[in-house]
Amino acid sequence: MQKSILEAAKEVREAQDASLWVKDSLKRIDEVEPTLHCLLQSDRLFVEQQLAELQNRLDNRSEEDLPLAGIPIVLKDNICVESLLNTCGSKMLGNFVPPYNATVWERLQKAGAILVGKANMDEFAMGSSTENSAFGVTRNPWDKERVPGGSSGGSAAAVSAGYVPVSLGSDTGGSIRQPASFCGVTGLKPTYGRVSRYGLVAFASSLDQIGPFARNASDAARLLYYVSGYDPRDATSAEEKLEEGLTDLNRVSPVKSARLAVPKVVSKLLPAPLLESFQKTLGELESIGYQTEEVDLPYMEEGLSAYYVIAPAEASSNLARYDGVRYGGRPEAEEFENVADLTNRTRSAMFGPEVKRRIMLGTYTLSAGYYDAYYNRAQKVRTAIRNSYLETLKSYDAILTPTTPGPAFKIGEKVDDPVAMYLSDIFTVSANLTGLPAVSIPSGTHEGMPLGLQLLGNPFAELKLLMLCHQYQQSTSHHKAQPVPVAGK
Amino acid sequence: MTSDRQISLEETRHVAKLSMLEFTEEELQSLNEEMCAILDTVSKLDNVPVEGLEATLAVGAYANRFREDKPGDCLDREAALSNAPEARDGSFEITRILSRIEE
Repeated sequence: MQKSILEAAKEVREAQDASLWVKDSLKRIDEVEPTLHCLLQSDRLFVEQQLAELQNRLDNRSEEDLPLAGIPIVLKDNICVESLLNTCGSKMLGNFVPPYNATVWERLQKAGAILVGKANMDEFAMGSSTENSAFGVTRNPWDKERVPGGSSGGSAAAVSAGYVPVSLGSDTGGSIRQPASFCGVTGLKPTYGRVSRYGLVAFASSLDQIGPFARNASDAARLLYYVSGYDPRDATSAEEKLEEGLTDLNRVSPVKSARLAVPKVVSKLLPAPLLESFQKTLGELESIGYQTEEVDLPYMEEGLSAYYVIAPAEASSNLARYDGVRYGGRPEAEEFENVADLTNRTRSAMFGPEVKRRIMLGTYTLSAGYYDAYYNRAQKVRTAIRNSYLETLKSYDAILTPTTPGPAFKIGEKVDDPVAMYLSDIFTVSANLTGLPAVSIPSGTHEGMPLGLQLLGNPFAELKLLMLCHQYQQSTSHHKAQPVPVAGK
Repeated sequence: MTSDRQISLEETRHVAKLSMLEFTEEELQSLNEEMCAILDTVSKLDNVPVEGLEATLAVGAYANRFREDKPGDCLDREAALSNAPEARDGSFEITRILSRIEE
């Protein structure tokens, strides 16, 4: 499917054919999935049911406009869909079947989208490569020896490999933007509160946000529009008005001039060949009339430190719910001495190493005697970072950085070195700490692998941010580059 | 980095207990080393002057919301128990919590 999701849905409505695009999507999945392993489930019976229901709605259309009619979509496996497994990439939830739907899925269903699969991810969204999935790594469609990024690696790779035009992931420290960059697609982390988290399995609640992957900014904007908005079931969801322009960026009046801030520290943190490539991208932005200026934006490295205190702390608290009693797996054929023993042994057997590491780290930094030195201090550093970002964004339309310090790394390369793995989040965590929206778009390649450019904007300024990307994508073709077909052809 | 930031093996063992996680002695060793390395990196926090700054606990403007205390839709008992490893008579089932008094 080459068309925009706006056009594609229109064709489905006009042809009154629910399966118009879904057929191709399933075929592509069958061809490539054995090689890439983007998905944890692709339930064909469930697809058939959805198609029958959509066909019925198309045949008897009255008031419904079905803006995403027949658009095949993939959801990360931490977004609950009633009656479908929701494993979160963990043995702990290996047999968990949610008894309710996430708000985002309810909204997509209402809009006419068809769920064709649940995407692989790092266990409980903790990781940058999908190597922490309990169910095997996803391979990067551009090079199957490399990771797709993470934690939403399956959702990114599914768009990159052409399974679906759009998908949803979740982003706690870069888990949408980093895999988008590694797989050569567009990925957006919306402003905190823009999208309801109801039905998203919690990792770090003050940082988590659901957002779209797409082949371009315009499709991402349209998907964002239909999943966003206030939800009484998520007390942190925002009441800010949604701009209707998001449904079709081609009809929004162009942003004539833009001032973009480039933090000076970027040149210190980037290896020489990648810095060269980043500067080339800045040149392209200038050639379409954007102004770029270097600014002092302090605390990039300190932000990473704050993130690796705050996220594990919230995770250790959120994951305390896995007590082995109400849901989750249980080690087989064991007798337990008491409830504490049951909980200890369930957690020890069912959580993977990275999840345990973060629970340990979080428990430590929250414990008496260390709370002030770590957690409380990290939250104050968070304030300092938010203040300096908001101050910068008073005079600039966006802050520009590369999305990651380098392209996708090899499978196994960083798996034994948590500190090195964490470093790949250096440019992305600030958006989560500050709650600001940020998008990653393809900006070229390095040794055959995609690179990403990140734009970070003011609270609830997704429309402007995506317009800046849309205009760039209209005059460049990086986002159109596709991986060499990986299988089947 | 100051040495009092380093976490000892004994502390790591204690944190494991608080985390309700069990490790072999070997796992505990390497976890201890990894945590030291991570906490070492995290000590960059000390570079930021934070005097007079409030802690940011939530970034949204809607941290507290109130609603009428009225019953609404909720999961029925069967749905709520549907993922429990063990359930009986409409309840979660757990291991005995009272120990037998041995004579």
